[in-house]
Amino acid sequence: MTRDAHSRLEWIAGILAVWILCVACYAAISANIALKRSEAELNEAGFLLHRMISQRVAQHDAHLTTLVSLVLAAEGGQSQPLIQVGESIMRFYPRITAIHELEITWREPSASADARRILSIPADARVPDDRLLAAAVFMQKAGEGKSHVDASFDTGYLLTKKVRDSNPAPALVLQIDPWRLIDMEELPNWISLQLQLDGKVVMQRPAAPQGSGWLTPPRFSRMIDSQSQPLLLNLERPVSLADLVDGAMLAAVAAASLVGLGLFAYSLRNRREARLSQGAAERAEQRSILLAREARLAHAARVNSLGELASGIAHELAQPLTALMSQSRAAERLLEQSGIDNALLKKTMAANVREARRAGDMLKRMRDYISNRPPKPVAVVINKVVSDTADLMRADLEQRGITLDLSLSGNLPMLMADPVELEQVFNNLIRNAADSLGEAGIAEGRITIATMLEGSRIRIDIGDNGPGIEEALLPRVFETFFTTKPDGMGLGLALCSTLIERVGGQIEARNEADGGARFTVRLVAGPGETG
Amino acid sequence: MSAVHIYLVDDDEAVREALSLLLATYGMEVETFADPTTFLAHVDARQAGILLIDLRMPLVSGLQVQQKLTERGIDWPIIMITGHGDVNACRRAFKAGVSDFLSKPIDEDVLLDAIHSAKALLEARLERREAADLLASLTGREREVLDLVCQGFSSKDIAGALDISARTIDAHRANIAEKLKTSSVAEFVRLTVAASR
Repeated sequence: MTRDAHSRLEWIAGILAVWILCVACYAAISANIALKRSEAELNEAGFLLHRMISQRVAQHDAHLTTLVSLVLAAEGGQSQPLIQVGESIMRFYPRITAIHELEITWREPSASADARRILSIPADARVPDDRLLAAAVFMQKAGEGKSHVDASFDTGYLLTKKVRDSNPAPALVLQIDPWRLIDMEELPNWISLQLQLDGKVVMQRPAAPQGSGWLTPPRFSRMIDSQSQPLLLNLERPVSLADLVDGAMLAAVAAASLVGLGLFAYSLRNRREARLSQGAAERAEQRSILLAREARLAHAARVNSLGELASGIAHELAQPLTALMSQSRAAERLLEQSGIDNALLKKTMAANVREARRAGDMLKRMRDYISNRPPKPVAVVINKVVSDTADLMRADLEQRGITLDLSLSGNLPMLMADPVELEQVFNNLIRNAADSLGEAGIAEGRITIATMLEGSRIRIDIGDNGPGIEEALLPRVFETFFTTKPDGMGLGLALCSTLIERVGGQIEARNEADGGARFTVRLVAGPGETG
Repeated sequence: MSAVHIYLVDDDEAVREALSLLLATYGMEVETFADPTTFLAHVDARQAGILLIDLRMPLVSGLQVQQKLTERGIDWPIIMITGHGDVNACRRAFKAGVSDFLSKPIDEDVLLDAIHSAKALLEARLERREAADLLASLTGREREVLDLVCQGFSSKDIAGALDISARTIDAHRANIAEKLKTSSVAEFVRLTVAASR
């Protein structure tokens, strides 16, 4: 896989991760809101139910009190009114499924109680046959209502009241069907309902929808406000993810956010690519600027080296030509003065002079051509020229294991010179230093360039930690054609000296006390005369 | 052309030989030196002459020669010769004190012209120094009288102006004539002009 494709995959994976995170956040927040809402709904329903049940069980207490008073009134005779009232109560309140009048006898020796039916409405209703219940009812205070769960009954509970503290004691029992305490048709089917009495479930209706097991469903739990019938109302609203999160909405949000993220990522990528390509363009431009400067420097080097070569040759040839011409002219004059009249000799001498002069004129023309190339001085910031030159050479020097240190003084005045020629001078001096370090095999070669102000002049030092220059050779290093390099022409330093002197500067070479050569260039600061 | 002393400093022996030979045919005395150090070591301040110096020479540059000569009170004309032909550079280097710049190979006529000019310069300088030396031997009063004489006043006029007797003026004039080795008023004028040049 290519690097590019790899990074593209990573990019897409990143976008997807952000998308999933966004959708998940949305789902969590909306689910939380839905959960809160369903909790609120459940609470509302719960309070309604609680109030209704509380009212209804309070009615039971009232009925029981009425019935007890009838029992007391009918004692020893008429039980007809009790039956009539009881029947009418049961007609109006079908949740009271039976009414029993019992006589409970406490038997001290066995510490147990028996219950005997006196009457039942309806008459054939099954009497709860439980000795524990009988004992419990006997223990009640007279007139106090209390509820019991009868193990012999499938559902429902018994509301009991002892009529009188006596043995045997008469007691009334209302048999209540809790299913009819509640209007089941009106109960929302999403509610799971349970009624407990003394920790035992007396009725239970599960909700129609199934909940997800791992979600804690909203719950409502409250005691019914009744002394005699302390029922516990438990409600639960099973929830599933589907209830909490609207699938269609989620899908819409997911789709919208995917599109949005895609667009965002696309624009981000575009911007990054634009930035990258801009960076690449800038680098390319810098490279081309560097190349152009290199080319300009190389061109200047060629032209100036050629000039220096020609100038050097001219100088060397000028010497013998001067001698030849002067000797010939002297001979001519001596011939005249001696009075010898030798036409052939005179002609020969004149020819010598003429030819020497011709060669001299040729040299002059050549030299005029060279020296008439007008220098093009502009205002130059010396530190920039130095660092430009350093930039150009640094890579090459690093390859040769040579460190190039710049120590540039700030606030140097400008000077008038041709920056390309100055670059050429520094280039030559740095290259010479590097060559001498290379020849000497210095392991940690170091070339230092320092600029500083020296009175009204700017001084540039180019030093190295090489072996230095042989003392005897020092005075000759700037001579044209003088070289210590086997394949050198002896033009470099001569050229440096020519170029520097042309702008009114000076160059000198010396050895440092601690070894190493140092070349010092001094240039006139400011917009001075440059010839 | 009267005899003129020429100091030729050039590191090229052939050039030295040829130039001295050529200049000798014009009746000039040429003293040659291979390098400036030798020249400076042997030069005699009393033997005034013209300097012909090749600028691009090792050890001591022509500039330094000029500086060293000035330090010794020698102000002879210098003709600079350069093999490089960068006459502009030379001209910049020597802002003053150099009478001419020549490039090699040297054209005979140009060289002779340069020597002529340098000779005139040297003679003028020598004359000025001579005149200055002579005038320096006069007393203040004598100098006063001389200036008035040069302005064309008669002894009587001068006596009146300086409020002294005409005889005293005559005595001063006799002293002046003796010190300046001439009694010609024209010579007096030439000397004062030369000294003030």
